[in-house]
Amino acid sequence: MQTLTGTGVTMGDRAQVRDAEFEAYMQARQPSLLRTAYLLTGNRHNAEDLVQTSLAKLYLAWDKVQDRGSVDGYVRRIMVNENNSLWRRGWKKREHASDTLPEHPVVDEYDEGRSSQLWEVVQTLPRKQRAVVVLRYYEQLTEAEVAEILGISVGTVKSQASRALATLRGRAPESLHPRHSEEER
Amino acid sequence: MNTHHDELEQLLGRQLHDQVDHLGGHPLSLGDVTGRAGRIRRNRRIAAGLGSAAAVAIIVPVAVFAGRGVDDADRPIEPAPSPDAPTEVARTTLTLTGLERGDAPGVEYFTPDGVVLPEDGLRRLDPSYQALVPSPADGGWIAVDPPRDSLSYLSEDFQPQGGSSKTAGLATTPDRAWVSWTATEAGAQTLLLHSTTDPEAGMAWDFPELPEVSPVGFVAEDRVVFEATDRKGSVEAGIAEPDGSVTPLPGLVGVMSADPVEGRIALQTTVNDDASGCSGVLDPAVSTTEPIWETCDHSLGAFSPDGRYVMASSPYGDGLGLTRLEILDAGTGELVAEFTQRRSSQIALVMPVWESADAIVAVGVEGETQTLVRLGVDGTLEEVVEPMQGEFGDLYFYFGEDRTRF
Repeated sequence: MQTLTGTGVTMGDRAQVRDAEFEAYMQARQPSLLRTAYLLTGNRHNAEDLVQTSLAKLYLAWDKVQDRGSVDGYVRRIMVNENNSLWRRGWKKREHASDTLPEHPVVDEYDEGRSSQLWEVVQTLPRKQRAVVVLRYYEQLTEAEVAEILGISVGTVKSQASRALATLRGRAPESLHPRHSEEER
Repeated sequence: MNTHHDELEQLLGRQLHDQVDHLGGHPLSLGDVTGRAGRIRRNRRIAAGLGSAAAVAIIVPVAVFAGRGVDDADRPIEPAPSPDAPTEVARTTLTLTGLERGDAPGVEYFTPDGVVLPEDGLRRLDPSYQALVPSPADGGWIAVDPPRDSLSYLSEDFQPQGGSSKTAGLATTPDRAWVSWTATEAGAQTLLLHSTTDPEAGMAWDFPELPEVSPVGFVAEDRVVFEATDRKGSVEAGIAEPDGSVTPLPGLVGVMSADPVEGRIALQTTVNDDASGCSGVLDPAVSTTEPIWETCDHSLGAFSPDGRYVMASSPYGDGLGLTRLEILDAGTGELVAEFTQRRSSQIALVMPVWESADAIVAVGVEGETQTLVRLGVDGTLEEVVEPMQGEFGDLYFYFGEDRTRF
């Protein structure tokens, strides 16, 4: 076994440490990544595939990325780019034909199911608007962080989010409209 | 404060959580991930081995829409003999520090302050416009506003002239004498071709409401290459011909760009389930199905304005932007120049566009430093604007949407 440094760390030792670090990260973050991937793709099969590919690319870049102290941002960016590139390559949506909902969909009893109707509309948004919506309103990232992940300007994030909200309001059922909400009160 | 807006945002956030908070699944093991990583690495190595000489033209069977090309990727790839001897490849290490300052960019670029025109410098412009094409025929501009999916005519001093229309895509010839976009109205789409110099010149092709038609480029000034994407994401492509007919381009995954000088089309031919894939260049005058050359080592971007070269990069988007950029001979696929970074480097190239027949300009990003760089076909690399220390995550410079193909 080749000794790399005078500290006694061998390549094999380093690989074991590296894999252990990666595995710890993966185990800790996988559920969260899967949830984000689900919101980006709209079904669990594609979400799991997206997470696996994204983690694989993260694994290949692990030495490079972990020094940046922003692994979460990096893997999110891989995931969004990968999802967008798959969309561009024209096969992801074909698999959407077999969309299935999560195992335990929850209807919020306090909003009489209005929010689940929103999800239906979210799934019709263009991919970039949808990514902005997921990162901004699910991941609760700042506009600057969303811009970094998507590789677009903050101004575009703002306009995409605004347009997505306008679409949601326009296409969502009447019960989501402000006037209706006021009347309910 | 818009309380209705806030209410919707809160409801949206809650709904997104509701959809996934109880999402179950089979946890991936380290072996699952390293196995997928191994496939990616193996495909990269195979592709690099075949493509490194870059003097070869690679021909593989073209995948069809019915499949994802997985089987094709497993078939042996046979390099075709190159008619010419390999030429010397210009190899340059990417850096953003210590670069010589070159002339200002020869194409317009956008900043948060407006658009910077090669002749006039900075001009104030609504930042929502992300493409700007001069229209000498009426003394104004054609502008695209992607967030609103609209195209507008602007006056010479960038004031909206009305008549904005819902549109998809914008393609221009390299000299920007011709533009094409899709106008959408209820129940129908029209693929439009307009001359920017002659208000009388133009064509229109009518399509049904679906699949969604979007122009990609030109194989001649009166022949528009377009993609048509249906609700399920299936892509078909064709050439809108001057006699009103359409020439189908069957059996491809997607069209990346087109070149009106040599009449060639850059396309993606296969895609694998690990997101790797192959690309190639099609000459529809020779065949509408068989590329004249193909590579599994690159994804392809825009052709140079003279059609001699085509931009290329890694077939994988790894989240950092382009970490390498190559220039290939568009006729053979031969590597002409490559710009790669050191292993420890964190430079990303964003939105590379052709500035001239022998130079590309791109946004260079390293940490919070952003600048514009010029990458020459001869391997030269120079800085062309004063670098900016941008806020984290905010892309300060960008190029017109019709020019960018990566």
